[in-house]
Amino acid sequence: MTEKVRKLSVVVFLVFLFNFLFSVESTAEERVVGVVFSADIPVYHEVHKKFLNKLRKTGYTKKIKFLYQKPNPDSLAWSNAVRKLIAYDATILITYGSGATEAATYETANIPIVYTLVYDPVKSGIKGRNLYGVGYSIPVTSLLRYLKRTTDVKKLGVLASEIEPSSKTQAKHVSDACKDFNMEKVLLNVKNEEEIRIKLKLFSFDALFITDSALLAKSITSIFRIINERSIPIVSTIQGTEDYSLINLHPDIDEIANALYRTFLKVIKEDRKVKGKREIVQRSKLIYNMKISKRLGLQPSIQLITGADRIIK
Amino acid sequence: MRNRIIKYLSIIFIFFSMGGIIAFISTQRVTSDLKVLINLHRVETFRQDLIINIKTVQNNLFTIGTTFGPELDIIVENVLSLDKAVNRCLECHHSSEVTGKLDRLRTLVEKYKDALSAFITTTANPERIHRLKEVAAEIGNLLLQDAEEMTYFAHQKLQYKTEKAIEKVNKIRELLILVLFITMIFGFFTAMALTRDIVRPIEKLRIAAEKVASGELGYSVDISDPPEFAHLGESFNKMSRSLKEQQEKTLEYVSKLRELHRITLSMHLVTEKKNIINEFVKGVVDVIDADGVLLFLYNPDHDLFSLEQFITKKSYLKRKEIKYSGEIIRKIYQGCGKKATMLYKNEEALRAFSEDNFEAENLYVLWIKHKNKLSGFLLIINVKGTITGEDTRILSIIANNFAVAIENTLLYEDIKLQMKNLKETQDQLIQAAKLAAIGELAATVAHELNNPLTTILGYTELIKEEEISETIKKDLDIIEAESLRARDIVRQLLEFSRKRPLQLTELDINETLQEVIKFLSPNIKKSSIKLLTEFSPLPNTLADKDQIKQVFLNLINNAVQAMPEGGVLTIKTGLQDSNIFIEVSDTGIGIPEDILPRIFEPFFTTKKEKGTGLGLSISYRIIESHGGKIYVKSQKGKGTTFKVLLPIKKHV
Amino acid sequence: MKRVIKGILVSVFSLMVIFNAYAQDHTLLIGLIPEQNIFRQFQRFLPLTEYLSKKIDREVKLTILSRYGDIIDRFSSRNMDGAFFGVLTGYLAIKKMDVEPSVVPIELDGSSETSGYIIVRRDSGIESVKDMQGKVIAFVDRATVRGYLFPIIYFKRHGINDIKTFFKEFYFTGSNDASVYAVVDGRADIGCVKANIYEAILARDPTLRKELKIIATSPLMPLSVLCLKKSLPEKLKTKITEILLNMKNDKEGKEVLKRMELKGFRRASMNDFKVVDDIFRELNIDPETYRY
Ligand SMILES: Nc1ncnc2c1ncn2[C@@H]1O[C@H](COP(=O)(O)OP(=O)(O)OP(=O)(O)O)[C@@H](O)[C@H]1O
Ligand SMILES: [Mg+2]
Repeated sequence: MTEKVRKLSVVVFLVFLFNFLFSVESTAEERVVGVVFSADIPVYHEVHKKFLNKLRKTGYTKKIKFLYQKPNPDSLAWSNAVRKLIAYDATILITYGSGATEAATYETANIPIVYTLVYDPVKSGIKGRNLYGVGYSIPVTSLLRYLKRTTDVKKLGVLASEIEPSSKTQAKHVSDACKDFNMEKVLLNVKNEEEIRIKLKLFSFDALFITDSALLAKSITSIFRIINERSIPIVSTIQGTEDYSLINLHPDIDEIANALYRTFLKVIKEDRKVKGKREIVQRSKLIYNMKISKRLGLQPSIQLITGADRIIK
Repeated sequence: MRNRIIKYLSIIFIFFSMGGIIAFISTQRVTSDLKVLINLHRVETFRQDLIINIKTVQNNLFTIGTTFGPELDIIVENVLSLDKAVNRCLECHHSSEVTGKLDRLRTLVEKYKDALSAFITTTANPERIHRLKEVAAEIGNLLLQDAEEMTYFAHQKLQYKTEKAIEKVNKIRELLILVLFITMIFGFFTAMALTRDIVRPIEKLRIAAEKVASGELGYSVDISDPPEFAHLGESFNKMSRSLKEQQEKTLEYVSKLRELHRITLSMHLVTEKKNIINEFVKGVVDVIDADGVLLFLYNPDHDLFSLEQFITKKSYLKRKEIKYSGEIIRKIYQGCGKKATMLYKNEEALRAFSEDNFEAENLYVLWIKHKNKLSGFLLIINVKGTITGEDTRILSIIANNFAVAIENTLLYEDIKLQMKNLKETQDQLIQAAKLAAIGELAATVAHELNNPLTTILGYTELIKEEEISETIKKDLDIIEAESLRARDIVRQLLEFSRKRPLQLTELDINETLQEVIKFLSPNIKKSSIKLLTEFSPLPNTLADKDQIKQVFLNLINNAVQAMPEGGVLTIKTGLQDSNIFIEVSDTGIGIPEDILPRIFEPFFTTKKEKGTGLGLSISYRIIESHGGKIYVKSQKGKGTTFKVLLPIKKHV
Repeated sequence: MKRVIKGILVSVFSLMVIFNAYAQDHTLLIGLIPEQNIFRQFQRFLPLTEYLSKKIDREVKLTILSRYGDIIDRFSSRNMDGAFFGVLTGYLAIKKMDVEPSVVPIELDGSSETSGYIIVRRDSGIESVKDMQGKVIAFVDRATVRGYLFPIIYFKRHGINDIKTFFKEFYFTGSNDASVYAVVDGRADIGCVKANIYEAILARDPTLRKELKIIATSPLMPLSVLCLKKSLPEKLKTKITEILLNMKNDKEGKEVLKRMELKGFRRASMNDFKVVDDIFRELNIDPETYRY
């Protein structure tokens, strides 16, 4: 190392020290926990609210200062959000959705990251020494089966966000299952809202599968507007999009919040090695939208109507 | 003549009797239609049955409680008779439309049966039972609706059939009248036939006209008497001849157009400039018979028109490199009135072209213009025959197409270049992410190594204090020296990766800014913000690209967030003293004076839920660690300008 | 004269009334416990009533027995002479009233019995009972052996005495296919289902084979058993049983069997109810007071 660099690092260090002292004032006893939403969408808010409610009962909330980041769904914004939190000495990061989670793993290998709402984290490649979290799995085949029984889909459009590992994994699972249901798949990989619009207009299919993605959930109204014109059904796996989709199958939000609470407690108590670092929620909720069904002139199978956890009328 | 009259009369008779027979058959058919009508009415009662059956079952469904007793038997009986009613309907109808509807009805009945069964046999789970009941009721209603719709449909059909029958009766009457009429006409023609002597020449003309119509243009008739007709015959012959000439001309024109199409098409199909030029020159040669064709294109860098391609019959050219100065050509261009022109040997303009390059009797100049600018011209040497207005038109069309095709190739090259640049930028971004990960790894490894090294050094020290032989001591010295070296490396590593050390690279600030703008452009567009950029050329400087990007991102994000109703976002770069400056201004809400001093404080935010108040403080720190400065100017309600100054640093 | 006519009219009328009463008394009422599709079931059994009527020279009528409330009560209040019971309802009927088993229908594939399954999703990670703790289980109905009683005894044998504390949640789906789809969709982790219906669902939708897995299988039990009222004349009972047993040997009977999609009937005995009997004994429940 040259003398210059050493000097420079001393300067940098001093700046950091200054900031450290500065911020210590307000957070002397509090721990800073950074929270990153992959996008500002209802499902993250809902889980987080439930999570906080549980946490409040334990009294932990008094000792924690939460810092929130709800960036736009794109990789640069996620990294930016995580960096801001790291720079302010967040001792734990909670990441919602696979996009922010992946960005966080790139930004730090030391600060514990508690992720949630990540579909099949193992296959999505979400791993790291400092990773703890709540993944989920849902039977996408079930969704395809109900769809096929409700309307004879020959070509299924699969909308996937290229920037989110969960979405890519789910799209792969759906594509693999398509063969079993005699459907041809049209995979639409997108990176931003504009691409969604272009690709949806460019390709033709009989039904659209929206995979789990913050980007897609954020753009659900514009997706719906385009698809609605063509009167074809949407199926989706994100909670909060059920008003736009014919059939929606999503993980049980209560279970997710509970599992997040358990994992978070483990991490904050530094009791990390007690049990596995990962929990997978497997319970799901099935929702059928009768309004859309009627508009498309479809008749659902009795199985679907009676099996659904909720029917939107 | 009498024979003929008899013949005509018998034909009239045959017409009459044919009309009678047709009328008779039609009457028969109408009566059988009426029988079908009566049948249809009978079928109608079946349908009523069907509806009553459905209604009964629907009523059962709603009136019967969930503790089914003997009522179950009633439901089953009713549904089975409903099934029967539908099947009976299916037996009698045959029109595909009706069977289609009945099939639908049948599948609905099957669904109805399924839903009812599920409802009746489900024993637990009241929510499910309730839904099943609703499903069954809904299908029942659909069934009812369908059946009723069919009744309506059948009603309409009945009416339609009745109307059809009436229509048929009317048709028969019309037919009879028609027969009468035809007979009358025929009688009239009989009379006419008697005067056919007069008609004969007309007949001749008719045949001739038919011949002409069928394409035998130029056909002539020969009528000598009566004189009136002879005159007519002559006029006819004249017309026939002129028609033939006209047709030949048209054919020729069409073949020219086809040629034109072939040439222009091939010009647009190739993407290489050279090929387009070749196609063009070849095309011109195909159209015009001349001794040679020379193509000159304009080179704006030197203000010269130079020979690009030529085709000559013999070796007309004395040299292969010919250039004319732009000034001379423009003068000639103006002189010709900017139009294609034929020049002759004694004209000055021809001499200006030929000089000692070639010799020519005449010279046809065709100007190539694109977007109203002269971009080249074509010289056609020694044109044989005359050039018609038609030829000029075709040539100028080819020339215009040529100009457009050339322009297209340039655009195409441009796009290829831009695609390549885009790919390179993407690769760089990936590289940056990898580097960050490696830095993180280095820090962890260094940290883990530091402790054992300290221990080793401690123990070495301890052993050295013991009474030991010189050889061991020497070995220990080596251990100590090497361990110290290792610790040094570890320290350097730690230093290097502590928090975020600057990873300085030669940076093009404009380019970096451009990348960030590209990332954010969907956001900017969505908020209906107009983006203005004024980039001045900048020298490269040493800076951490990742961090600088973060600063831009934060500043632009803030500006966008400050203009929720839209506005103008201006981004400027330039040089100021020995610094690079970057200015991000918005026309947004502005910052009130009392909070202006606080905006760089960490956690200071006015955005409540939406912001953390970290963006600016981080940006401040990054710029400071680069030895730069950041200023803000703002006016409440008018807008805000952030100015970043970065010192220009080079490798030592 | 008038009186004579009156007398004749009155006697004719009373004769008719008597005749009617006689005919009614001689109508044999057979109950059916509804299965999957009651209409198909009803039509399936209709030819049998015609055939039986002819053979025993008495009108035979079918009635659907609702599964709600107390089937046994309904059986006696509607004055039935016999019924095709399920294995649990048959068992309870024998225990509570005077009925006796007659015959068991044999399906076209030769089977007359089926078992119950406990199923899970293949990707659930559940391999045995110990993995089921804290999960959600879907039963069919309290009034079924395969969809409720068998699983209960199975768990008991694995040391689980209280399902309320062992499982996170349990519920009744109300029908066998609903149980299967609850597991398929991830709305329950564990499901209980009758084997023949499970196989039928898998045959209709082979992709499910990749997704589901059977954890436990119950012993075989008859699908349905015809039980007759003990108070019927002994001769009549034997006659009915014999006619049904020998149907496959007579031309007309064969035709009827074909329309019913059955291979024939076999004699039923108390042995057919042994599995249920064992379960009741092991759970220590008195069938006389069992509520469902
Ligand atoms: N261009 C601007 N126009 C108006 N106000 C601004 C502008 N830039 C910054 N501010 C004010 O400065 C405050 C601090 O900005 P800063 O970027 O540090 O945090 P933030 O934008 O609130 O949150 P985040 O951490 O998400 O960036 C903002 O809350 C806002 O009040
Ligand atoms: Mg900001």
